[in-house]
Amino acid sequence: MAQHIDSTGVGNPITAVLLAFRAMDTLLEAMVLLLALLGVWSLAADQHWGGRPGLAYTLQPNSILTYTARVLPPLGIMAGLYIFWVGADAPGGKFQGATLLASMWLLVLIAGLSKAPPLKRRWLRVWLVLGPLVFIGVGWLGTLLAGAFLAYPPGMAKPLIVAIELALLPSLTLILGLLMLGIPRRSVSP
Amino acid sequence: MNTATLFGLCASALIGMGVYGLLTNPQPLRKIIALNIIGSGIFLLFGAIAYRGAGAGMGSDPVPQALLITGIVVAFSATALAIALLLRLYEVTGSVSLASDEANPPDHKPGAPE
Amino acid sequence: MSPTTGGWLLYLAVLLPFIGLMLGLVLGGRNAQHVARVTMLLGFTTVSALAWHIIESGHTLEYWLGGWAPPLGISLRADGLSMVMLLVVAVVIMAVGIYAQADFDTPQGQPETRRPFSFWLLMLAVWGSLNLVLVSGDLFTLYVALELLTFAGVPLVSLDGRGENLRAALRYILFALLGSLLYLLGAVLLYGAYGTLDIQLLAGLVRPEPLTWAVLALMTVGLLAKTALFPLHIWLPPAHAGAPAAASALLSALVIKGS
Repeated sequence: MAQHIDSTGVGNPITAVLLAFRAMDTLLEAMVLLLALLGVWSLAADQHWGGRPGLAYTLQPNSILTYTARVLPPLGIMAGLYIFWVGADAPGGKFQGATLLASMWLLVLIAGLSKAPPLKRRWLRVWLVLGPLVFIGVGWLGTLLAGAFLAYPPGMAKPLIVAIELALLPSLTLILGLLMLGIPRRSVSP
Repeated sequence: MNTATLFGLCASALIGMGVYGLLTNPQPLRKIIALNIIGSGIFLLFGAIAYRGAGAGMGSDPVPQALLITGIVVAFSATALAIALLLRLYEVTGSVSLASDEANPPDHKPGAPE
Repeated sequence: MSPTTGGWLLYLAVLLPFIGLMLGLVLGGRNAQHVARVTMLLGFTTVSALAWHIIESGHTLEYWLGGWAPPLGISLRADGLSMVMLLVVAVVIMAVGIYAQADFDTPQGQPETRRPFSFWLLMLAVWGSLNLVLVSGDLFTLYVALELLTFAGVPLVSLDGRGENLRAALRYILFALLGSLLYLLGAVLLYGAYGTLDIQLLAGLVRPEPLTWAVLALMTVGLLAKTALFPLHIWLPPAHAGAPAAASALLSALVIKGS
């Protein structure tokens, strides 16, 4: 296997397995998350369909939570992006990075500094499916250039793998955050 | 006893505890947690197999570790969906019992939370 | 075995419904229904072409994803039996789709509502997951497919949102998760013993030893729970009876057969 890992140009063998040899599993894993999110949404009361998920948090200006939610996210986002970036060559990757980014987003929401977006927003839904669609797109590129779905042309493997991970990062972050927020339970207020 | 065997034994213990918890606890939340404990046991087994199957020139077998990540994601999604179902069940019926309707007071719909 | 011509139809049959799901999610409202209809036609065409390939060539269709041969990569396979199942699934999906037009219609100009939107997307998800179950040549991909099927089936059970539906859905998901975890445990043990997850390679490797029997027992019990065979059947009647008619058709005709 070691010689095949070299051909992907990726230093972390786990990333090579996830995005080259078993790329289909990773694509399906994104589908699992998306489907679970749809399932959670489908539990909403009819009148709350398309509304904001989770509870309404009120901002308490002097609480320690608010303070943390102002100070921690810049560091957390840096750490998340770093973990994402080293994923190609060392332990880390898109999923671990997305988990950290999602937790920072949730912290800001719970402190009441920002509101969860209504689920009927078009841009939100575009971000949710962007990663998997780019993944499938690159897969098709492989059919044209390398002769098999999800194959990478020689020498192009690493840039394409990074491109897929980059597109998956925002999608996974949003899906994970929204899964934690749960069922839409507030009608859309202006 | 080497490290992989120790991991393997811990994994079987976790799976056993999970199955016991799943069968003996009537509350759905505890059943969900028990399922997660079974899951953790299986994931630990992945780790043990990865550790044991280390090929030449590699720290450990990467395939089980990659499967492990996918497995964790699936387990997380399943837990999120099950918890959401449980919360909704409580909102709609005011109870979290899995027993069928005869054993429960009729459904009452509390005002939708705003 | 090596990849055969026309093998690309295999991944297309799996991906088309999921692409439809994602497009439907973005376009929303009445468009979800239109996307589902177009996907049904395209998917049916794909499956028919696949069947024609198998009948004409007379042997199993195989595809190596990413060009990686098993045991390194994942292979998709369809033999005569899978072909028949794929066709049956496609026909049932078409029939349910036509029947559900009346029940889950979003009238022109109306905003998106929960039941129809969820139904159309979940129906596509059921289809994609089932096709994956039928063509997957890898035990772990099969695990992911079974979980996808669960996640598509559970919200269909609770689609009407009454207390009894939610209770049935919760019971269903607990059974299904236990089932797939037992299956996964079996798959891991097989990988630990034989170093591959490819079903065909495993078929040539397994020896009749205690581990194989244990794996067989785990997988059988796991799949029994998901298929609701006696004595693991108690979750099924409330789940299927409480679902809307079209969803119930999907559940009893297809989701159960997936395992």
